Amino acid sequence: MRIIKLISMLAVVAVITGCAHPLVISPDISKVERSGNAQAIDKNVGYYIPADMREKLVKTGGGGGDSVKYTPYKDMETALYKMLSNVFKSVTMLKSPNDAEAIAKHSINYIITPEITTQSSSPSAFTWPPTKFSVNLTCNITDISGKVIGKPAVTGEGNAEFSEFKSDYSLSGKRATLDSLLKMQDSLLKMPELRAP
Amino acid sequence: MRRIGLLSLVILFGTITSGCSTNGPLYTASIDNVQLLKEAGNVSAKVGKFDSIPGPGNANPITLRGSRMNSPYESSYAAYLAEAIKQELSLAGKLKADTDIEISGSLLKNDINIAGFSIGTGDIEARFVVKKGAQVRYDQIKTIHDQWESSFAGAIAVPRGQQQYPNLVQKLLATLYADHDFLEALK
Repeated sequence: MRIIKLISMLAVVAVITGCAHPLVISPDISKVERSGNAQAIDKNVGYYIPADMREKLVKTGGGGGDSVKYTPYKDMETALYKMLSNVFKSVTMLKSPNDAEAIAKHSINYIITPEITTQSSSPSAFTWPPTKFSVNLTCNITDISGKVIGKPAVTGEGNAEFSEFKSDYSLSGKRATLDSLLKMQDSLLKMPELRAP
Repeated sequence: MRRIGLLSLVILFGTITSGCSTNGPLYTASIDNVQLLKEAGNVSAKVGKFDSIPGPGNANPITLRGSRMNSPYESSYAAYLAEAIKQELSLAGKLKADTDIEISGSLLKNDINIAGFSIGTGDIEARFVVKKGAQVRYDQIKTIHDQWESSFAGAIAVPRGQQQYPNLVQKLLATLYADHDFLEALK
């Protein structure tokens, strides 16, 4: 009888405790493509994500009182690299914001430091995956002397309903990250200051 | 009381396990791997066929506490490995369709174990072969074993186990690209 009581308590605790469900919000990089008529910018860029930001675990809302957790910088990095490769002649990951060796070796013209913030939610009382997701992506762009060239900012939105996300709980997040990257790609390609000789 | 106990057992079982079938996460290239390839100099290759050698520890689908995880690429983990190499060569600008240098291989071990309540583990072993025309320039087996924090709750342990799969493949390929002989074979 004691065992049954213990199991009952464990089950109740396991069910009612709101938990943070792990997600990965990396978009499908095959969808990160430059539109056919856009011209790439003939400059080399380096991007820098601090190691602690790359591993930073973020918690945002889900449904049913639960939350979701993920690493936005780590999850978006490969797609960010692909997007920047679509925009610029070459892209290099920098180990520090003043990675002199890489800056010289790859003849880098601009340094990009991304900033990412996210929100998510779901009106559902019974399912935890978020149905709404948004990603704010800012690219802080400087030249190698540190002079600010621009700071384009975009917001990507992603929605997913239960019938869609039952096979991919991260779907709204993946849609939001993809949307933010494609909007940022468009913004960068339209910045005349990046094409200045 | 017995009914409540039985119901609790059912709920608890459902909490620990979840018996469904899903596709695993798509591969996401490792930028460290891409930079290794980029900085390897004048290397290029196309990616040929990868097959899977049936045997103990070579699971397809991978079972995670009763939940089955299929490969999102042709339901084949060998195809997953081929796709991973293609993505990283492509992002590094080293994937060439018209070269006679081809990377192929076989998946020998492939499994994730989240049966424990605190630690999950993953293992992949694969043979990689590089040929230039008919000449074999490289033939080596690479292995990776990794572990991560898991959970009693299936709702945490299963997705975490799924999410670890691309990381395992990234780490396996990092050992391949760190092999000087492999990079020489691509020249």
